Amino acid sequence: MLITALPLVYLVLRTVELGSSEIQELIFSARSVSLLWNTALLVISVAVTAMIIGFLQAWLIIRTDIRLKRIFTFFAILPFALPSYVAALTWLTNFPGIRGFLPAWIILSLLTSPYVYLAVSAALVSQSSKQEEISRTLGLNAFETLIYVTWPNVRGAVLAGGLISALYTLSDFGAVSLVKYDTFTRAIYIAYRSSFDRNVAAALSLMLVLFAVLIYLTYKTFAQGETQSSTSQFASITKLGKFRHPAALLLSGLGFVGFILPVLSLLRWQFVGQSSADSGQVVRAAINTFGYAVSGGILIAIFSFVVAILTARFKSRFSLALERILWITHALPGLVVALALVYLSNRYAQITYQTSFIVIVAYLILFLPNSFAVLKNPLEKSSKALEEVAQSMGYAYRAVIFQLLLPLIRKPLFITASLATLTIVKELPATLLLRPTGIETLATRLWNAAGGKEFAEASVYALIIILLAGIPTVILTLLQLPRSSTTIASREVNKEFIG
Amino acid sequence: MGIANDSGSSSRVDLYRVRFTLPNLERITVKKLLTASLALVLGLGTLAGCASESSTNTNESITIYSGRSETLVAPLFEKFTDETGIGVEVRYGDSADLAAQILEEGDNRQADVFFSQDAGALGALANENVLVELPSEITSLVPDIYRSEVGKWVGVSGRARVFNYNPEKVTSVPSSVLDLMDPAWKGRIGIAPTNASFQAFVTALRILQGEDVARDFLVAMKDNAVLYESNDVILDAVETGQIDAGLINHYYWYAKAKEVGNDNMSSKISWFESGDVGNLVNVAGVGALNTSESTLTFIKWLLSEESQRFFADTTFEYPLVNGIIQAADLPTLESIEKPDINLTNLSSLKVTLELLSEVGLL
Repeated sequence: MLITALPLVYLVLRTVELGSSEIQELIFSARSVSLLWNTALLVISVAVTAMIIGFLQAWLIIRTDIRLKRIFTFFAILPFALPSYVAALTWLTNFPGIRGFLPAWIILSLLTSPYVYLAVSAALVSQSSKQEEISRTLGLNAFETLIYVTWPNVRGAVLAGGLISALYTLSDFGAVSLVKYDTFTRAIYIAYRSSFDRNVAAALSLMLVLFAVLIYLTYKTFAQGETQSSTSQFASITKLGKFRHPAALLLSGLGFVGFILPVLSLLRWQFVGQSSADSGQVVRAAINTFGYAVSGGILIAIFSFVVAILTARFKSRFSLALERILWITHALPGLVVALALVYLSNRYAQITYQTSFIVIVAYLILFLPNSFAVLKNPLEKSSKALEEVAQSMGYAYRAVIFQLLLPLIRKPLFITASLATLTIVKELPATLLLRPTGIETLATRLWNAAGGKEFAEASVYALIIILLAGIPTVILTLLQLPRSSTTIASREVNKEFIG
Repeated sequence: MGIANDSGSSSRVDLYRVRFTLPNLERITVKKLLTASLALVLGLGTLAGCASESSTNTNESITIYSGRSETLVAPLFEKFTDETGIGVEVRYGDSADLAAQILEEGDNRQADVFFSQDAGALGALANENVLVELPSEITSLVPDIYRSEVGKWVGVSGRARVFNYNPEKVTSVPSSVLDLMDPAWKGRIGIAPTNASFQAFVTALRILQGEDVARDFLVAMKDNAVLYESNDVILDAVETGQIDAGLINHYYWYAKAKEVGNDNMSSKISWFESGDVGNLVNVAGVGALNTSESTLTFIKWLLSEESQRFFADTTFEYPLVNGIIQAADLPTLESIEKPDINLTNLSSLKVTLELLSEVGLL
């Protein structure tokens, strides 16, 4: 599991090669300052916006009487299926010439709000709404209940989602480079690819890592004092009344700009473009993508389960360090992780270089933090007493893990595996650099087609990626839904009372 | 808050669950699940390695890192395999990315051949002693200005920088690319500062006229120029009248003219006055990482008449091998009054990029 620290080792090795005077020069240059400002502005704006959007979506869908819940749930999660470079590309084709902060902010906010939505909806579904019921009977109105009762309970989830959104923004390359907004990742990419000087790229990456640590510490400060909640399954529904239609309009609007519009633009390319995709290449790319995504997704789920148990149940210096490394690694752009693995495998494990094995390792390093974040919250919220009782009844801890914890977080575990699979389908830089020569995936095909300005061909791959990443999204969505419906809730209630 | 603390009741619920759910859970199912997962992972991992693009199952094969796009050169590589029986594995990418990757690979070399879109990337690899010396029977096929002095790489096709303009808006072509620094050009000229060809031109400007002139030029461009991502977007902008002129490579214009017809082109291309750095002629070329027979066969084949004609006819680039006829409409390569520069020197791209980012054009 310590492989997740590998990219950091690489960065330190490389930065040291640069020498202290050059490092100082780099850090205090006007360019670094402007990069820092641009990046900070974008990260904060995107995280705050995504938190607002994701929280509103989750609350409206799960805790109000809004109609078409299934459709709105789709809308909320579907932006996941869009890689940032595809989303940015479609915005550019619809609004030619957009550049700078504004488009980067809009695109990344829409793309990362599902992270917040998922975290919050999971919290809302598993959280007792007894408190809300009580607060309502005590005379607080729906809005006050939302602020004073619901909010404190989901605050942790909102912040956790916001953290992922912030780190995603920090490490995003595709969107910012397409709309030409100058952030750290873009500078790193430029330094790496064209100057043949990877030491500068490494030093900039280290600055990025420090930035990530700062975000994480900020998150820790805000996330303190989170309230515990029980595991019972009541559902209280707020009646929206006259706000029902505006709310539905809001959710539809978000779904439209976040997913439908980009897909329509891609479909349009099928008619206006000149290039086309070779069907044999499409099939081979789809097979490879599927293989990488599913095997990576399963491995990541297994690893994140283990790490989540380690950090939630066996608190030690080691597990704490592991958790921190995971968060820090998450801020690294895929490109940096890829470069680190290229460097390290070529020096210390030549046989693994450009194999499917090293590709999967890259996925593990890149996406373990996301999966871990999904698992950790429910695991920490589940009562320890349960396990202690089981152990006192003579079960070995291994049995507790398999028979108690695993079933308990079966759902988040499935969500996590699906999430990882979805993300791998979209992953580009690591696949591009580490894949065996001659193996193409949908993402690498898309990249090369877009690089050659064959947009119609690129849009074929983009559409397949969306479809392939969209199917797990649908499964994910369906799994989330029944829990919030009143029938299931009342069945649970009956069981508890009769049992 | 009293209501927040209902852990007492919930652990009662949990206790209930322990008693009734634990014995019902079959551990075997979980184990089976894990085993099945692992089997699936291994299976899929293998599967992912199966759908390869490699051309044949011949005994002999070479690995090419190609900075030239698959759409363009894949048919050419297929022909090569058909004729020689040597299979090819190709890794497509951006020339600069692939060069950086080859450097990073160190002695764990994967590629036999590096096919670059620009002489700068080849020069950078030659400087790092990654490329091997090619036999003179190969390099001598190409005029010495289009190959490495020490035989480390050889040009395959030539591309000229040109001034692309709308004749209705630009009545007299400026005599030098440096004339574009005049404020009269504000908002009228398109450049692509992230594009490798433009960067190679800036490198040439730096080398021929010094860092200060290059800096002044770029500062003026920051004021005057409209920035684009690539040559073909600039050409489209000039064609549709969004801007009056642009700096591009010659073949974009010819490719567009072939697509829509010469008469339907609203823009023209022209060269600056004799020897101006704006007339830079760069090459796409190859370097070898070893001197195995298959590698050399491939490079020799790229310089064969068939392959040279392919570039002339499909991409409208200049064939570089002596005596091979270029596409009909183009002025001859010899007739272009290009600046006097050693293409190997274009490898100092790093300095150019520092300059570009210092000025704020990247």
